[in-house]
Amino acid sequence: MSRVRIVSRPALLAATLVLGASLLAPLSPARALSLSEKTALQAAMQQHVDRQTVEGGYLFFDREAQAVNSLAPVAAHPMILTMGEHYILCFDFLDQAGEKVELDYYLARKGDGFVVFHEAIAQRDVVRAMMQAGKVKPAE
Amino acid sequence: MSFPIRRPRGLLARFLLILMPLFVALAIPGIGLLVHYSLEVDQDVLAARFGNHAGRVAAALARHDAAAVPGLAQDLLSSLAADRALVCAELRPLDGTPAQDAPVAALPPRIGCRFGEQGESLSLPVGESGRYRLLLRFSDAELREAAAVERNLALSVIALAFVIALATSALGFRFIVGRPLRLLLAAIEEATATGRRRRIRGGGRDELGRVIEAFNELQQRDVERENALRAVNRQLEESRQALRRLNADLEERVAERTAELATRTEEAEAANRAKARFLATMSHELRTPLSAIIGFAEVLGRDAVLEPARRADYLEEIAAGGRQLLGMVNDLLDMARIDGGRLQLDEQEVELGEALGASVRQVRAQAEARGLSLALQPPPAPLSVLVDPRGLRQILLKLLSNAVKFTPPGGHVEVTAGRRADGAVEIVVADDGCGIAEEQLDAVLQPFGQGGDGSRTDGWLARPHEGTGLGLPLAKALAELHGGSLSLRSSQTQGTTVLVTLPAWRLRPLEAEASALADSA
Repeated sequence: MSRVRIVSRPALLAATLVLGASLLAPLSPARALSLSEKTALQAAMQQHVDRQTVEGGYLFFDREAQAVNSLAPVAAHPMILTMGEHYILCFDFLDQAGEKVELDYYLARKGDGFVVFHEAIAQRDVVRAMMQAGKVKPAE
Repeated sequence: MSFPIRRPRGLLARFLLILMPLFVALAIPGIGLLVHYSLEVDQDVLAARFGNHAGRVAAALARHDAAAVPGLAQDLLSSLAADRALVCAELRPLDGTPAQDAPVAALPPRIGCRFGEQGESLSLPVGESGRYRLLLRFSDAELREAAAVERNLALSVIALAFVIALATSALGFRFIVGRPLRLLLAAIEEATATGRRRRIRGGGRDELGRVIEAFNELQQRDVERENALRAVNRQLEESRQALRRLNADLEERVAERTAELATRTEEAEAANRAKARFLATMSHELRTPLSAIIGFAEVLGRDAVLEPARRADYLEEIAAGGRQLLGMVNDLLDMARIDGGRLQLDEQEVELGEALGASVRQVRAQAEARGLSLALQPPPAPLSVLVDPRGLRQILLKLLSNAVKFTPPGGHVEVTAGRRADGAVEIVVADDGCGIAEEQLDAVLQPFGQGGDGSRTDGWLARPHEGTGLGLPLAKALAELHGGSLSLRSSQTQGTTVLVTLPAWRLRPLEAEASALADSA
C-alpha cells in the first residue's frame, strides 16, 4: 500500500521559515541608534518643549481657532521613529479641557546633537500613514 | 563516515517528529523576537528617562544663570542621583580657560566623571547660548539584567511550552488517533485469528470515524455474506441428501423394475415356452383323434363288405374321436374366453349334491375300467348354490378326470363337499395316485403344465399321460371366475387333494336356512 505524503518535511520547514520571515519583515528597524543617540534625541525634544513652555504651559497657535492655546506637558513617548535621515518623537499634552493632544516632533542631526525642525500638532494619523507606507520605521 | 538513521515506526513518533521541530522553529524565533523588542522598549524607556533628565537640567539652566545662583548647578545634578542607572554627571563651561574648565558641578560631588569611561554618555550644550556642556554618563546594566531575566524567562517559557505541547500532542494523538486505530487493529487481529467479527464502537465523525464506520459496514457485509453462504450450504446439503435419497429410491425402483422386468421376461419366456409347448401338444393331441378318425374312415371306404358289427365299432371310434376333438376345442375356446375376459357366467341355482352325483356317474365307468374305487360324500344337507351349471360341471369333470387318469389301478378317488365355518362352500377331490412333486404344484396350474418340466419345449414327449394339460388351469380359472379358489395339496407318496372353494354368498339363503334347520334338527 503506497503512502501518500501531502507535504514533504523539507518543504514544511522551508515554508515555516518563509512564513516567519514574512511576518517579521515589517517589524525590522531601518537603522540602529545607540543608547546615547536615543538619549540625545529625547533630550533635544525635552529642551525644545521646555524652551517653548511659558509658566508651565506649552504655547501654540491654533490656526483654525485663530487663538493661542496652552498645553500641559504629560509624557514623552519612549519610541523613536526614523524617516530617512530624520527622526520623529512624540509627546502627549493635555489641553485646558483636559483632552489629550498629541504632538509629533521631527528632528534632524546637527553637529554632535539633534535639533527639532518641525512640530505637528494632532497629526498622528499622518505618522501612521507613513508607517504603513514604509516611510517611517521604528528605530532600533 | 555515515551513521544509520533509525526511522521512527509509530505514528505518534512521526507526528511528533514533524510537530516538535515546527514548534521549535516557530516558538524560538517568535519568543526571541518578543524579547528583542521588549529590550528595545526598555532601552527606549531608559533613553527617554535620561533625555528627560538632561532636558530638565538644560531648561533650568536656560532660565537661571548658574554663575549667578550659587549651588544651583550642583543642586540640579544632585537631583539626578536618585536614578540608579546614572553613573556620573558634570557641568562644564564651554568657553572658559583650562583653569576655568573645571566642572561647575559634579556628581558625585567633586569627583564627577573623572574616573573611567564606563557606560553610555550624553553630552549636550545647555544654558543660555550654550555656555555650558552637560555630560551625563549612565549604565546599561539594568538593560543587561532585564535582558538576562527576559532571556531566562523566555527559555523557561519555551521549555515549558515545549513540554506542554509535547504532552498535549501525545495525549491528544493517542486519544484522537491512537485509540481508534488500536480498536481497529484489535478487531482486525481478532477477526484474523478467530474469524469472529465484532462491531467497533466509538467512531466519531472525523476521517478515522468514517474509516471505522466503513470497517463496520465491511464486517457487516462479510457476516451477511457468510450467513448467506451458510444458508446456501445448508440448502446444498439438504439438496444433496434429498438427491441421495432420490438416488436410493431410484436405485430401489430400478431394482424393483429390473426384478419386475426379469419376472415379466421370465413370464414372457414361460409364455413363449408354453405357446411352443401348446402348439406341440395341440398338434399331437389333435393329430391322435384325427388320425383315428381318418384311419377308420379310410377302412370303411375301402372295405365295402365289412361286417356290420365291426362297421359299427369303427363308426363309434370315429364319433369318439370327434367328441374328443370337440372337447379339446371347447376347452381351448373356454380358456381363450377366460383369458380374454369374455366368458360370461350363466348363473343358476344348482343343488350341489346333485351336480356332484352327475359328475361322478359320468366318470365312474372310466374309473372302474381302470380298476379304481370312486366314492362320493355329498353334503349332509342339500346345498343350493348360485353357479354356472356348465362351469361347475366342467370343474368337477376336470378334477375327476385328472384323479382317475393319474391314479394307478387299485387306487381310490373320493369326492366330498360341505360348508365351512365361515359359510363358504368347499368341494374336495382326493386321490391316492402318483401325486405331484412340490416344485411342480404351480406349474400344473398353468395351461399345459401336467406335471412335466415347463422349461422344455419338448415337454409333450416327456408327458406320461395324454391330454392338453388344460384341465386344472381351466378348473382354477372357472373357480376364480365364480369368486372362489382352487388349491392343490399333493405329495408323490400320498396322492393329490384338490380343494375348490365357492364364496359364502353363492349359497342361497333359503337353502342355507333350510340346511341350518336340518342341521339343528
